[in-house]
Amino acid sequence: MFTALSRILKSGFQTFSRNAWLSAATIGIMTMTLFMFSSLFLFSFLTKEITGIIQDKIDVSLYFDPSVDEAEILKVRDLLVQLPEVDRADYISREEALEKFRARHKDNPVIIQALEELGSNPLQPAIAVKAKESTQYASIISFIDQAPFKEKIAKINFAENQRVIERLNRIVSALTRAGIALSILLAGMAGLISFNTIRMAIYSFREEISIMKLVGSSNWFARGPFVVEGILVSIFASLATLIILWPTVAVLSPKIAAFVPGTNLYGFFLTNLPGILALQTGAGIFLGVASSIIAINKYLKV
Amino acid sequence: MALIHFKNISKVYNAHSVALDNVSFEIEPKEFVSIVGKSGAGKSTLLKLLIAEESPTSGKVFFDNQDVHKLKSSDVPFLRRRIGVIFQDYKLLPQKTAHENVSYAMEVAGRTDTDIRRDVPQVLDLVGLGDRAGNFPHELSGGEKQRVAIARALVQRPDVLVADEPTGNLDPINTWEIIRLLMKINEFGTTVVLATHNKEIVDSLGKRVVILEGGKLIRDEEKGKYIMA
Repeated sequence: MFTALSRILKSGFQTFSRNAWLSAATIGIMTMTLFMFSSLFLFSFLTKEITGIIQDKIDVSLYFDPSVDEAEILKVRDLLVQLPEVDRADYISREEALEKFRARHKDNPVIIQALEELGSNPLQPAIAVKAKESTQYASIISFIDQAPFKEKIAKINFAENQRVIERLNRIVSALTRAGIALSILLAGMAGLISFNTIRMAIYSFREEISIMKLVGSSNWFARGPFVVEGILVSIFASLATLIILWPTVAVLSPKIAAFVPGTNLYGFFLTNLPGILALQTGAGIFLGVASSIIAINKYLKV
Repeated sequence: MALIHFKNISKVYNAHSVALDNVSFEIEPKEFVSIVGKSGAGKSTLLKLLIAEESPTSGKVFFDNQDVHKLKSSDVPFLRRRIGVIFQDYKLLPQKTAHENVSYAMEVAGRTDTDIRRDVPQVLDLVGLGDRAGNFPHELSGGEKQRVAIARALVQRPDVLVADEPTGNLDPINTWEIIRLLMKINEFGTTVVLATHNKEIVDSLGKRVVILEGGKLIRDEEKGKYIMA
């Protein structure tokens, strides 16, 4: 048993090295497939990150009449925090609001000058409410509409945000669905290309497989070396993928971060490196071994 | 007891192509039998039936009293290790050296590395290729390739050596070397079944001749000659 295994391994290494060109070509195709797999994996992480970041930017502000006491506003905030849908509710005083306003428009002398001329603080105290999910704002707003403190609220900016929020929700869910569909499609295509490449490689060995059988080889003894070769191809392809993927992610990550601040693709890649490597090697070996076995069966019937 | 028994064998590929038509004969141990006939007479089909590469349409093939076509597919390799086969196109593994081609036959049979190290050089010497062990098939001449194939068949210590047109691609000098090798192997006690359409060889052997024509057995003679009907 052990002798047979070591002979199969040796023969597999031999087939792999003595057909260096064929092995290299197969590794090339397999590398493209695995690169596709891993890119899709990173892409799905990225869409999740981006939608998370966008959703995080949505909030609803309740503006109070300047005459309302700070203590009362804080009471309202405490009420809101207790809602299961609410993630955070922050009180922003008039002074804070003014400071933020100044900071935001510090490069616009017209606005700053206007503010100076006004002399007093024109802004209202507010509570910025953040829901756990962007779909939950409607129910939070309906709670506020029926609450006794409704009359103290001067304005809710939800109506203005509502259309943006709804559109965003649609985009997020469409993006997620499209991402999944695209991943399945591309992964399937890449898998088929790899399968066919291996089938062609095995086809070029069909004579040898029938000779092995005629000399008295069992099916597994004839099949074994090609399975070993499939594993070797997958391992090399996985390493080659890593060599291409690493610098690609390193270069792209800051560009994506510039476009969508807060994402860190490279960081995610580095912390999940062992997992990604294991996943793509595993996918490669599964693809390589399954393709070899399926392709070779046809030629074993001698 | 006959070693090989073809019993009422017919093989029909389709209505227009009958390869074998009710052929029956036996081969005793240690015999040297030539199966002759024109191309398409059914010689190769007969040999393919013996090693279970094909199945008969009707009839039975017995090897050592075992119906070859009742064997489970997992037992077929064991049959093939007892029947050494050489072909017109040699059927060597192109990516393996002469030595590796011969040792492969022992590896599939699960023989030990010690046996392999001892037997392979011996059998390569026997066929006169002791100094070509490290060469790949594409580095060998036709005659040398066929001798590697014979070495591969012999190293299994088969009960029968089946040769399907072994000299079909060889020049006269190499042809006779191969035939002399087959006769030597037969003298050592191995049954030899030689399929050929080479009249010269058959007539000079002075051994049993089975003549096939159009899939029918038309003549079976001890010390026969290749006589066309």
